[in-house]
Amino acid sequence: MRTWWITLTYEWIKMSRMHALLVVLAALPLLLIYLLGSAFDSEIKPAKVAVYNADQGAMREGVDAFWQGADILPYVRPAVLSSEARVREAVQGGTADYGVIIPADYSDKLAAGESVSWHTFDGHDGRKNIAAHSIVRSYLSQVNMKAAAFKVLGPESLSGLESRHTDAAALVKVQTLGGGSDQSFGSISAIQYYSVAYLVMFLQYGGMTGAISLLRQKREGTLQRLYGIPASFSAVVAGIISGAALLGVMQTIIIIVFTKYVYGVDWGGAYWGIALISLLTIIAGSGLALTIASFANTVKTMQTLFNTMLFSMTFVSGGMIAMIQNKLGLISKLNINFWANAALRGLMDGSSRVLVWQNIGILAAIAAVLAIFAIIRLPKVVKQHA
Amino acid sequence: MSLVTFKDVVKKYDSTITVNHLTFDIGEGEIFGLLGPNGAGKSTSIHMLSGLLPLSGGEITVGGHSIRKQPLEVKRLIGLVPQELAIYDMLTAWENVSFFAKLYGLRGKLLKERVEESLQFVGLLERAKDKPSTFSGGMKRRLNIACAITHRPKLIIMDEPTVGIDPQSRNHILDSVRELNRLGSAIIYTSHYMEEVDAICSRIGIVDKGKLIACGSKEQLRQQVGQEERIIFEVDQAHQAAAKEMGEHPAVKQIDEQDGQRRLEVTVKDSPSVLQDLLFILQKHGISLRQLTRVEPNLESLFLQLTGRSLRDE
Repeated sequence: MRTWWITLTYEWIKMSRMHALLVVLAALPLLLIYLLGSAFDSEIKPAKVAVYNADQGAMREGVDAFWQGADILPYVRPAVLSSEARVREAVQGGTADYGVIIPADYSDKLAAGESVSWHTFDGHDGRKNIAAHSIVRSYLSQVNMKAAAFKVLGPESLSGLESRHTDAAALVKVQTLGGGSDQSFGSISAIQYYSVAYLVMFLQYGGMTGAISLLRQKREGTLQRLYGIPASFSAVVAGIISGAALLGVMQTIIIIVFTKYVYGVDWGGAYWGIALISLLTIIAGSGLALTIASFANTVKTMQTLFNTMLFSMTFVSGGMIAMIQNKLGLISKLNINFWANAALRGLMDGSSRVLVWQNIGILAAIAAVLAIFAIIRLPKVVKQHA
Repeated sequence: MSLVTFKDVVKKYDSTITVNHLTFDIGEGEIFGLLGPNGAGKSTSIHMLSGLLPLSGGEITVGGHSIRKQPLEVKRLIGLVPQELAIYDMLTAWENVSFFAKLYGLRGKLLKERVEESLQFVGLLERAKDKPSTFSGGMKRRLNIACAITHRPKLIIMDEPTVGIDPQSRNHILDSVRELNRLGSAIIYTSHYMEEVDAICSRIGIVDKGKLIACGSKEQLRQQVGQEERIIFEVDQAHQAAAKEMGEHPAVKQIDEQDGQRRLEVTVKDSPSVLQDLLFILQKHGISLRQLTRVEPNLESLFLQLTGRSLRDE
């Protein structure tokens, strides 16, 4: 136990100093998730709208009620500011995505039956500008329509003019043209879809680092030196592999916490399930990497073979082109990624427990088979003359 | 008293025998040199002794413990300095030494003291916080040694510890070997550099093609070569008759003529008495001597005599 712990600790110290490796294992998946997730996501995050209402007239209350209405929250998040200058500042500084000024003569104009408009300021994000602008325009269209009715039909038609809100969902529907509909990613969003795909892919890279470390230590002679110490060599090897597995655990935590709090990815809340799936994926990835390492003489050959397999598994399981797995049929299912993805996505979209456990069960079986292969082939990886 | 015994040790790979019935022993406090060309079986023997390779036949014991039956007890007594630089570039010198020391069971205050002592011993204490990637080849070799001595082993095995380093570092390592021996460790030192083995070892085993072809103290080995010496005469003119007359001297075993007989290499027995006769022959033929060199027998010539090959033949 002590030998295992010492080896694991020092393996971890060594890996923590390989900055390039850590960047690849932590930052690269986050970048890919962001790029693919936002490129294909049809949902737009609510625009932060800075609002200054200069109107002190009878209609002010109605306007304030509109901005506080729950039905516009999916599209805009208003923040009421104290002056026009602050609104401009907020938009220019990027703290707000869009700015709205309600002029001081708004109520007077409406009372006079005139057409009204608000001053608006576009921010940096074109899609959020469109969303906020649509909300404002639709609201003012209705107000102006009613103002026109007032002018023609008289004051009775104005009753409830500002108190009734139109359905915001009916006011605005914004989608990207290239991303397709939500159905491209099943019942989850694009960012959820790619978060799962790249978590699973990069966890296996984490598993690969253990096999690389063993091959490298064998080549450099340190493994042979470790074989000469008066302790269990199995514990030494287990320490090295566990160090890489621990890296995978850290990776999981970083990816899940970062995507949840920065990208707003909904992982579904079943974190023990996610932990189990991640662990099984790490075991399967390590098993695959060690098996490949037992046939490869050099680190380079091992990396080339493993990368090829991992990219192929990610591709056929739909990690690069969404839902391609539906077109590939059986071939898409003969790998680690498919079952890990299915299990994680099942947890995300609240699929039936039976289905989720079925996927976890198949993943566990794959992990067990690969782990057994790895144990059988391990002497070839670690011993100089095996 | 023997610390290490090799008894009829054999190592086979399929049908190839790399160590062929090796038998010798090493006493406590000895520096034992294992000399032989590349591929002679030195490293294989060392690997079997340190438990890295299983034996195909025979028995090795260290401190009375069998490597087959009590490998952990044997490993506890050994400090292995491998031929490769078996150190971690991502760890500092201190971390490298303390990692191996911890695996040998050291901890706490003792661990700190021993790591410091080992780094001090190899002259790297001031560089303890630096990574080996910033070290010269010689410094890395010294760190390689430090990692093997923190647990104060009774037997230190050094497998070609001076490969590819500058003369200054080599001297430092050779001094370290003598010092470790003075502090009580027996040393097994393998090399194909005859000069190193000659300089530090009290007893030498010469292996070739997996067999021990000679074993003993330096004096004993030199006696095996006999009193043969080489005398090199460089003269001012070629003279066939003089060379022929020298070759006919009863004490001359062989005469090699080079540079058109201007350089004569003569292998003789009992050179002091013969030298006078040979100089007389040259004088008789009116030949002036430009340079005279006397080459004493050494391990190189012993190896050449026993195997017909040079130590550094690949």
